[in-house]
Amino acid sequence: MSVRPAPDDRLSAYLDGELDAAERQAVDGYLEASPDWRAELEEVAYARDALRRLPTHEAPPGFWEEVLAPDMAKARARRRSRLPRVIGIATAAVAVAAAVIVSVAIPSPDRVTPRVPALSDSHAVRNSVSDDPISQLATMSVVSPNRP
Amino acid sequence: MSASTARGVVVIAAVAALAGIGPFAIGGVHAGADQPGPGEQLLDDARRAAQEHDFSGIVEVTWADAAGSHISDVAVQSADGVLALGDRPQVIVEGSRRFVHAPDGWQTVWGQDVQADVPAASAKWKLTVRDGPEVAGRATREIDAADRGDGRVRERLYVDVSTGLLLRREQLDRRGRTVRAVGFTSIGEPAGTFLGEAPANVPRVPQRSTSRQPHVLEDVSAPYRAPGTAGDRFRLVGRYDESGNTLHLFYSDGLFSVSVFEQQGELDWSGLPSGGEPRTVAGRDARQYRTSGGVVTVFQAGDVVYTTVSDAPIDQVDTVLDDFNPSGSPGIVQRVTDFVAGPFSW
Repeated sequence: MSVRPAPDDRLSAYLDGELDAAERQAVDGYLEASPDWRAELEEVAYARDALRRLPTHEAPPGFWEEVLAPDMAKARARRRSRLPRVIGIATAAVAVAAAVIVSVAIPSPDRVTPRVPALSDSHAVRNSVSDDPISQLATMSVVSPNRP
Repeated sequence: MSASTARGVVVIAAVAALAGIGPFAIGGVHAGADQPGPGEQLLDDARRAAQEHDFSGIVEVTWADAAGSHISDVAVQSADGVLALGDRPQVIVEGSRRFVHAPDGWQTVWGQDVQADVPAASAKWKLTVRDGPEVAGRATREIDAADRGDGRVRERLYVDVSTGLLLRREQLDRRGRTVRAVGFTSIGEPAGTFLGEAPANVPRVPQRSTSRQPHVLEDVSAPYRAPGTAGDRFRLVGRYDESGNTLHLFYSDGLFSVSVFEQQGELDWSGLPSGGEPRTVAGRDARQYRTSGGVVTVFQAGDVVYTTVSDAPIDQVDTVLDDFNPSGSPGIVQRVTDFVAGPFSW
């Protein structure tokens, strides 16, 4: 059992004589066996003839330039305005990348929080060895909220 | 003692005196004072007297900061060469050893003798001795330490005539006002001694302690700095490695001292204790605290965070700070680097 496809674009090519021998033979077979193919062929032929019978007119001088000029100008303007923006974005991207690379490649220094009370005590202890121990070390026993 | 032995002792003593051993042996930790004046001698004696006499008393510490004046009392007791400070006590002294009571027990924070390389106070300060007022009911000799340049007295010290103890010291600013003082308000025999036996609460050296002593450093490498002298004739007399990667430099002018702590890194200003006052040190931001122990200043220079602690007057401390900030205000390269890298530092 053979399967007959629905009418398709081959009909237009058939009318224009653009099919090869095998395709033309196949379309001839469909047209002979199928009323749908024959009806479709008539419609395609009618549409082609109708279009070819329409009168042709030349566009007035400058028409196309006038129609296309704004778009062309906008396109050129867009290209021009896009260029600095692209350069700016690229520059910013490079700067950010460089900063990130620098901050990663160069180790960030450790954060230091001096333990002020402990350092004060270290000073008092060392000082008490060279100086009067009572007046130097008494300050270590001071209880005061103001002692850092 | 036989006559020959006695003669030998005399000869050895004479040779020692001629060789200058005598002054070294009794001259405390000071160096360079071949003939210490009366003020110098009183100060040296006072430094030893605290552990040579038995006593108990109350020491009052007075200081002022931006919030106002503060007073705090500290109990002090000395017996059999052991000195204790604080009610529990918090600090024990025996010879050159220092013990501090921490939340997890006693810590040995110092245990080494120091070399006799502290300069003589009289080399920088004019020491004048005269009869002083009574302090805690004791007659005193007063030592005034004045700037040799302008004659201003910057420290007054009162020494007990009978024991040689330093009973009180007052620090004065350039206008002559007392800005910090430490002194006995009462002093007497150790509690319980009248019973004829050792009191139950005599200070004793802790039987167990954890060592937290700094290590002596022979040299210092970059980025740390350790100039041999700093400020107004302060001499470097000690370099130590404290815990926490902290370099400790100890400077002295014979009367006052300045500790300079150096830590490599970037100062976390937000982590500093409250109560400090903003200052500018040679064009750089600094935070300064006036405490019971003196002046504490924190600032950053280059890759190092500096914390200085000193019992010296502020204007004397400032001269030292300048020497640890040789470049003055940060250069343009440093400013640009800080500006660019600042948002990316974490």
